[in-house]
Parts: sequence; structure tokens; C-alpha cells
Amino acid sequence: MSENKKRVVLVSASPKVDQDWAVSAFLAKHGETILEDERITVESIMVRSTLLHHQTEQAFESLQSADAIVIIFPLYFFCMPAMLTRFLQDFAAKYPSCKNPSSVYAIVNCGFPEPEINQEAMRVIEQFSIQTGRSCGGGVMIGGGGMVIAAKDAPFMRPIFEQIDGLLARVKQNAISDQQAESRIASVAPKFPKFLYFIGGNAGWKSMARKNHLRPKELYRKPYNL
Amino acid sequence: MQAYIISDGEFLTQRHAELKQLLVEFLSKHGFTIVQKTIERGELAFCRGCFDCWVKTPGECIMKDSIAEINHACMTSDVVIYLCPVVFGQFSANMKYAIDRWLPNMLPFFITRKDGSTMHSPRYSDYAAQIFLGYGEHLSPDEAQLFIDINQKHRSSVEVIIDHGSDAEILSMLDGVTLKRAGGAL
Repeated sequence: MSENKKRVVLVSASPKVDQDWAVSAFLAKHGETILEDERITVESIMVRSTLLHHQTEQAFESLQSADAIVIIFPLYFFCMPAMLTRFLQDFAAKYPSCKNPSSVYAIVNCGFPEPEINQEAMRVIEQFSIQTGRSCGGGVMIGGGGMVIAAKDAPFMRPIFEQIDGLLARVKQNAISDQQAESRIASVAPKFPKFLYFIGGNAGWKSMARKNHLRPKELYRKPYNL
Repeated sequence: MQAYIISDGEFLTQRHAELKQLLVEFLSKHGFTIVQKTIERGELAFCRGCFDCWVKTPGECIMKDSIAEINHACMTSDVVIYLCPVVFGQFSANMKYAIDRWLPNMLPFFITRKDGSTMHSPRYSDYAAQIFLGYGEHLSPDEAQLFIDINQKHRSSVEVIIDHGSDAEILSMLDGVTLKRAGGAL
């Protein structure tokens, strides 16, 4: 029975040291729960620890044999963070093509309120899929990602989890039924006023500065001024 | 006037050498002193999103590797050129390590730009002209367009040039670039 199970690999790609406060790690754990099914095995790869502990070979083998891959990452400079770029670039160099049908999906979150800012990152995932011989199933683009963990139970966060759970249901269904993924991309953000998000965010930086014994005006330092 | 050229040590192809030579000759002709940097694999740590560069050591990354030298050169030059291999339509890994760690050069605070989009405030009154010259052996039109969009859609004062193998085309595009520092939104 077990050899007939489909394999879904969740790639959690937050570079943060404290993974308890990393949105991607949080969503990967959520994904493990939602994907649980006797017909599939679910594995999570934590890219940060995989790279830092030089365990990429094993992770690459898992990716190469997966029926579905869900890449979860934060937006850094309008595309993938360096850490994930290293991981996927090295993977594609080792395994430039895929022997069995496989699909790639993504969940991208950014700190800006507009989820559409993630669009280019989603296209990067599409290029990765094309170049490694996989189909791209799209995914979810999340805005206001800074609130995902802290406000996870708030009613205004519900649309985000509905979209994520919908994507994961699609991943499961496609994997079990051997269907090729059809690309669908959803954009979603907390139903929360942008101006309040700005006020909260900007106050948060000043509060963190004070905890580090800096006055708020010291946040404006210019160490490289000519 | 100083120009800073950044290359990726993992993609030192024949075409890279030709493009670098082209840039050096072009910039020298325009009176620039040229500083070159090649980022090798493992030279930089990846940005870990700690934001200490905003709230602990404002303007400087807390991790002490060659990013201090790179950011200093980026911020004190008149022109910065990223001679950038295009991988999956975005920056190659070594190049992205440096780009992510450019974060200290902006402020954490959100602003809304004229088009309604969100961005971080600039830390400095002006910045070097930034040119991203993307190259690769078999770049598809989609990949090339994606590289342009990543760099130009969300940022101001950034020029993108895609290498199609023609030196004349590159020189013509460089002729259209303003090679001096610029202020305003990032």
C-alpha cells in the first residue's frame, strides 16, 4: 500500500533564525495538517537548516521524487530570498529534468499590504517549473504577511486561510487523482485597513529600537553618507 | 566619479568576460574610476530577515562578512552595475545574497507611492544609478521580461539591460542611461 502513496513535499523557505515566528514555517506546519490523508505521504523540507547543515543531497532526492511540491516563502526584493534561490539553483543543476509527472505550487507572502506585489515571485516559480520539466499549479499570494501569525485567529485573517486551505485541497486532489495541475493564482490580504497596518508597523519599529536602547531618531542613521 | 561593477563568481563565462570588458571601456571613456567585485560562493551569508539593520545597528548589517565592503562601495559610487546571470528569470544566487543584504540602505517605514503601491522610505537623500545587466545562454523571452519586471516594475531609478549577444545594442542602451546619482523614492 505504502509504495502506491503519492508524495507531497512542502518546502519551507523562511531564512529567519527563530522559525517559531517564521510565516513560511508556520504555514508548512498548517499544510502538514491539512494534507494529512492515508493516500499520501507529506514531508517538509526546512531550507534554512538543510543549507546550514549541508544536508541538501537528501532534500534534493526528496524533491526529485515528489509528485507535488509546495514552495512556501517570503518575498525578498520582489522575488525569492537568496537562501531559496541557492537551494533551487543547486537543485536544478543536479536534477535538470524530472522523470515522472510532478507539479509545483507556491505560497508567497510579503510584508506590504498589496498581495499583487508577489506576482513576479510567482512567475519565478513558474520558470523553475518549466526549466525542471514540471507543471506549475500556481498558488496563493499573500499581502500583509506580517500579521499572519500574530493575528491568525482574528476574523479578518479568515480569507487568507480559506485560500491556503483551498490550494492545499487542490494539491491533495491533483496528487491523488494523478491530474496535471492547472495553474490558478489567488491574491489575498487580511481584511484590515491599510492606514492602521502602516501605523502599527511603523510604531513597531520604534518600539523595537527602544528595546535595543536606541532613540527612535537613531533609526535614521546614515553610516555611508559621503 | 566611481563606477562599481559586481559579478557572480559562479558564472564567469566567456560572454561575462566580454560584457565586463565592454563596460570597463565604456565607463573609462566617460571618465569613471572603476572598482570591480566578484562575489564567490559562500562569501556572503544569506539575509536572515532579522531586521537588526533597521532596529539595532541602523544602516548596517549585523553580520560581519564582505557585505560591509559591498554596501559601502554601492553607497559611495556614482554608478553600480550588477553584471547578473539570470536564473529562473531572477537574480542568480550569489547576486541575490548581495541584493537582499542591501536592506540596511533603506528605512523600515512604509510609504505610499504616487501609483498607490507601498515601498520603504529611502535612508539617504540620493543613491548611485543602478544598472542591472542580465545575461544567460538560453534566455527565453519570458525569462528576460521577468527579469525586467522584477527590477523595474516596483523600483524607481533602476535601469535594466538584457544581453542578446550584441555589443552594439548594449552600448546603445548604455548611452541612454543617466550615469549619475539620483534622489527620490526607491
